[in-house]
Amino acid sequence: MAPALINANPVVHEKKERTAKLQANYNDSSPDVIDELEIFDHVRDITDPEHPYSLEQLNVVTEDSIFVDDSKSYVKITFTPTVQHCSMATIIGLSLRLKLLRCLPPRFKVDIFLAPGSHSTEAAINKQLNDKERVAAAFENPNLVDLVEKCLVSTEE
Amino acid sequence: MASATLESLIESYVDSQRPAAQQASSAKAISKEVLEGRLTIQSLVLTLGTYLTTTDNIVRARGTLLLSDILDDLSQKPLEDTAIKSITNFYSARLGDWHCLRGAVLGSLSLLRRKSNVGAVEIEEAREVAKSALANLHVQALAQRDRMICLELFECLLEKHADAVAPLEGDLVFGIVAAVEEEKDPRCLLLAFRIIQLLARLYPDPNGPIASCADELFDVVSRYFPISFNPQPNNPDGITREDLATALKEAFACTPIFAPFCIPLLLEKLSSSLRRAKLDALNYLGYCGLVYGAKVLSEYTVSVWEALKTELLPLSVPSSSTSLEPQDVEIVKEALTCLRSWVLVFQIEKDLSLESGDFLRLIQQDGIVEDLITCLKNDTESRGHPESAMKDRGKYQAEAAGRVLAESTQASPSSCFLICKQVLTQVMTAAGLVVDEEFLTNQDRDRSRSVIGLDIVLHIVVAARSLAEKVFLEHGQSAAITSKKWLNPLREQSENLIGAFHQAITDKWSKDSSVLGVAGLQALASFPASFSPLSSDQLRRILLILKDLLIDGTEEKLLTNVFTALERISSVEQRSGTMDGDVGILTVVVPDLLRVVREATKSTTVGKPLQVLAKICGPRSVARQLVITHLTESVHLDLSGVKGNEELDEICAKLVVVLQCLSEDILPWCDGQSADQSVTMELSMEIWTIVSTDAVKCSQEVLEWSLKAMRGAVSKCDATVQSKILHKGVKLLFDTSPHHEGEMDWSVALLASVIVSLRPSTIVPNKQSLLTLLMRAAQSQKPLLVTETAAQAVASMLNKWVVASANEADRFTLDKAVNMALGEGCLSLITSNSVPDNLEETGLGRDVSKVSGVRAAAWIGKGLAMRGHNGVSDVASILLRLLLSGASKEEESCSLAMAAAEGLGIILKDSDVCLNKAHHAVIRPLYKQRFFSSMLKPLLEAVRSSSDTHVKLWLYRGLGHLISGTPHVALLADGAKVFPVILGTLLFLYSDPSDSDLLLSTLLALSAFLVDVHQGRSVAGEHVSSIVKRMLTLIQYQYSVVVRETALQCLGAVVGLPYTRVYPLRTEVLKALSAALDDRKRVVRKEAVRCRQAWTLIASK
Repeated sequence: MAPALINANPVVHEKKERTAKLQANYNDSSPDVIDELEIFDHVRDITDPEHPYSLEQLNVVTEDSIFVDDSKSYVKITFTPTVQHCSMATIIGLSLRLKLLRCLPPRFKVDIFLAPGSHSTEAAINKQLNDKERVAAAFENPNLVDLVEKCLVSTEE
Repeated sequence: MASATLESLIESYVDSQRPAAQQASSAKAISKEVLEGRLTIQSLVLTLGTYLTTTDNIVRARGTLLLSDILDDLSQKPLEDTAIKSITNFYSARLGDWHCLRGAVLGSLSLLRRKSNVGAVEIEEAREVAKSALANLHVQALAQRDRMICLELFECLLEKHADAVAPLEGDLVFGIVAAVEEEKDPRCLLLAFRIIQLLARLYPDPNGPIASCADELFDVVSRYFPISFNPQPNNPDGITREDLATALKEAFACTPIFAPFCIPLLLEKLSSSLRRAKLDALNYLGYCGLVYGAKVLSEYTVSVWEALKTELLPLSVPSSSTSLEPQDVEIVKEALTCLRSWVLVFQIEKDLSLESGDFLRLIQQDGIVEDLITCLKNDTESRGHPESAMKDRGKYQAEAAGRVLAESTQASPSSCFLICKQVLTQVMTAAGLVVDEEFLTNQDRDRSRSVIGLDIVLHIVVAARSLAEKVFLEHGQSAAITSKKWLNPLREQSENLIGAFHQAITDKWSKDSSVLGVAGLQALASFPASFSPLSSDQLRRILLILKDLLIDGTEEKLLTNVFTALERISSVEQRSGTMDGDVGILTVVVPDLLRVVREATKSTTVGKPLQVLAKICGPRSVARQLVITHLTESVHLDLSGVKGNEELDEICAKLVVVLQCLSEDILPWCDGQSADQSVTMELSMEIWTIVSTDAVKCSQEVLEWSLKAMRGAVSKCDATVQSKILHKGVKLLFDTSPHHEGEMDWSVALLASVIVSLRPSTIVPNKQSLLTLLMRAAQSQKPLLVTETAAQAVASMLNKWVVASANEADRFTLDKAVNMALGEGCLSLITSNSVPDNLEETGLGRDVSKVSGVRAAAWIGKGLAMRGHNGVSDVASILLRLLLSGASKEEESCSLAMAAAEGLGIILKDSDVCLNKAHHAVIRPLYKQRFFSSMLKPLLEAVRSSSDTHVKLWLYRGLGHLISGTPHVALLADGAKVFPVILGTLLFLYSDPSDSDLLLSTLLALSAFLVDVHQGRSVAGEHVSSIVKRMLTLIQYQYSVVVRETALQCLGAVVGLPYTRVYPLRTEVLKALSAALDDRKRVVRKEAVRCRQAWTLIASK
């Protein structure tokens, strides 16, 4: 029997209307800065490890929970797991990290945090997610990588 | 044919061991023998004899089946009556032999389906078949395919041989009930429902055999309600739930005898919690009501009305919940349709007496109207609590009641009469919509109830309008003679209605009351003319109100509404004609708009009226001519009183707007009727006049649009009118001496644009001198617009040249003309370095005229290439020579080489101003392909033999134009040769920013290769590493965002090429892509992410 779900009945929020492709601006002289919405577009469709819903639908990530500074090449994402004791929080964090690793230019430093007070072992997980060595080690683990890749499939359409 | 062979054919069919294809082909061979008359059916049956009667079950079954197959093939061949008779008798006996059931049923079917002209089955035999089938076929016990053919047999009997089976009565009905009962296969069910329908049609008598077992029969079909059927996504039969539901509905509605069983069942299902059941029940209820007729339905009216009320007016039913949840839109819609059908059924006979039928009386007596009135009146009292639940509730209730009333109005003329009479006045008074003293003075009171009232009134008026339209469509003008008394209540109220709607627009009671007002006016004005409740004076007033709104209005949303309102009214007018006194859009609105246009001095004020004129009048031929005539007048240009540049600019701007409207919105509608032609001729004459007089003082834009309008006007005319216009132009040009050189240029350009749009059959006078004149204009240093148009005119002339018969050899022939245009005209001038005698310009001037000469040559080349004339090769060789001379650093040869490269593009690309179908060009099929393949070889040869990179650059530019002008199909067909050229072009055009457009179109050609599965990919697969190399440089291309984006898309598509070639490149690509992820533009970054994704996937495979 499959192990019991951690959050068996999550609240599903509506997907936000995609901003109709802003009149794609082909004027080369005005560069487009990488902003919150662009980062959000990259991560909104990541599937939750436990449910067939996207992080956007479960309100795990929102546009407001992302901070970007293009000039300083810095991104900070704060995400909120659906329940306090969610053991999937690390998986979500890893999939966010892997996704951004693939989508952002290498100059960026990405910090990923749990929203303050949203998790029982917040500090430990924060430390785990932002420790280079431990992230690298996690991506060496084939089971973990499979799990994370499965979350990312939906973003790759 | 020897009988031995026949027997062997039969043997090969009957032998069940043989493959199916062989069996089928032997059956076909036998049918062919019979069809061609070499074998009679009698002798065939004799030969078959033993196979049909043997005791071996399998062989007997095969033998019977063979005979059926052959009979099926013979359905068109006349057969003797005796033969048919004996075979039919054979089959009806065989129906009892279950071993050869399939053959027997199929055989009887093909016999029963025969048409009488080739010999059909007689009544007696058909009856015998029916009897035998009823006695012997146990349909339920059979497999699906056999059930299906049995049902087909019954269907055929009922449909084609109704006379034969009718006397069987009870046996037939019971037999069929037994046959279709418990059927589950959708294909068979469709047949079963149809059989029930045919059966009911056979015995319409209420005391007949159907009536005696109606409940059993209905019980068989009613089990399937509501249909729940979820077909597999790729089911081969293509049967949908809707097909089944419609078939079942027909079966339900097939006879009024079902009413006592059907209506209670549907009413019961209405209370179902299944949404689908509810929708279907409402739908069936409406449909059955219409078909059964008033007589049988009268006992159900009360219960049906109660049920519908629960759906439509939930608040007035005490037991239902009192929450204000929004209703299910679809259910409400279905319920309203049902309501309308029931009202209609009971009103059908009352349309002359205008009394209310049973159902309508129920609605009238139900107190809806009273509640509505109270609600509207009370609204003022609850003003203190504007947001109170009571108010919301009241509003909700009122809207629902409005919908019910409107739907009943729409049912039939008599219901329209009654509802309008009963409701309209009361609602208008209660909502304070009647125009009286109080209405006008008391402006400050609460208007929310007026808005609700207005909404209801609007619904009713719209419903009445739809009904009028429906009656008009059904009876046409003849309905005008019958009584139109049913519109009287509306007619009496028309004055108040207009007043109220108008007031709603001007006073702005709420934020969308003006929208309601416009919609109301539109509904009132768009009754078909013979049914209009308005007097012609009232209609005129409405139209004037709308027109004023249009001209003075500022609010964007309201303007759009007025715009569509006018358009709708116009389209109704077009269909149903105008009222007495000829009041309509054309007589009221259009003249005023035209006046506004004529009198306007600013270009901004004419925009809106012109837009409306174009929309309304474009599709209507009468109006179109009127508008063109009037706009022609306002094209008239009088510059005598103009002082100062500003005023001149304003006049020019207005002229441009008018010409633009004419050429883009109105002229394309013209379809070559004689009336159209005369007005377009007037228009072109007027343009001649303005251009040949003062217009030169205006801006170039005026000329541009004059040319466009001229082209549009002339191309719609036929040959005689065209030649009249042409003559006028030629006369003006040759006979009058121009005062001013610019004036001359304009006239030449205008003449050129006339020539561009001529039909091939139009006779052009003075061809030789015209050509000389145009060629001279084409290679001058005049404005680009003039030289281009002149060049296009020469090209069009040559393209449409009608080759005369040989005996006119001494005259000016096509070859001579081509010679003149190319040889003496431009080519010598371009290639020679000496300054011609008649042109005494500085070096720069000569340069300009040479460039225009090259372009002219290219246009001529296009004209010739399109008709397949050899002269194009001269042009091509000149262009090639110019490309080769581009090596020298001289500015002159560079600009000439540039013009030559563009010239190749001109020849291949479709132009929208000339030499196309609309401008009557002669177009030989595949001329692009032919030109492309003839040019490719010399260009490649030149590339190979030249060592200078400069020369190569020019040659590749030429190639770039060549590639981007050729259809991709042609490129793909020549793939192996073309693909390296594309890659080379991408390499060479990389460095110069001015080539970015060319680069893009070449990239698009490349992408066509990458996505084409059949040919393109295999060619591209040979060049994977060079493609990737090119793309990796192009994704950094700094001059154009689109090039970067497209290059990334191409790079992504490369992944689909052979894996062994793609895989080794992945590290290189991924590295380059991480730089693209940091692109300045977001679109490029997005594309880079996608591309990187594709490449990571192969890396990790």
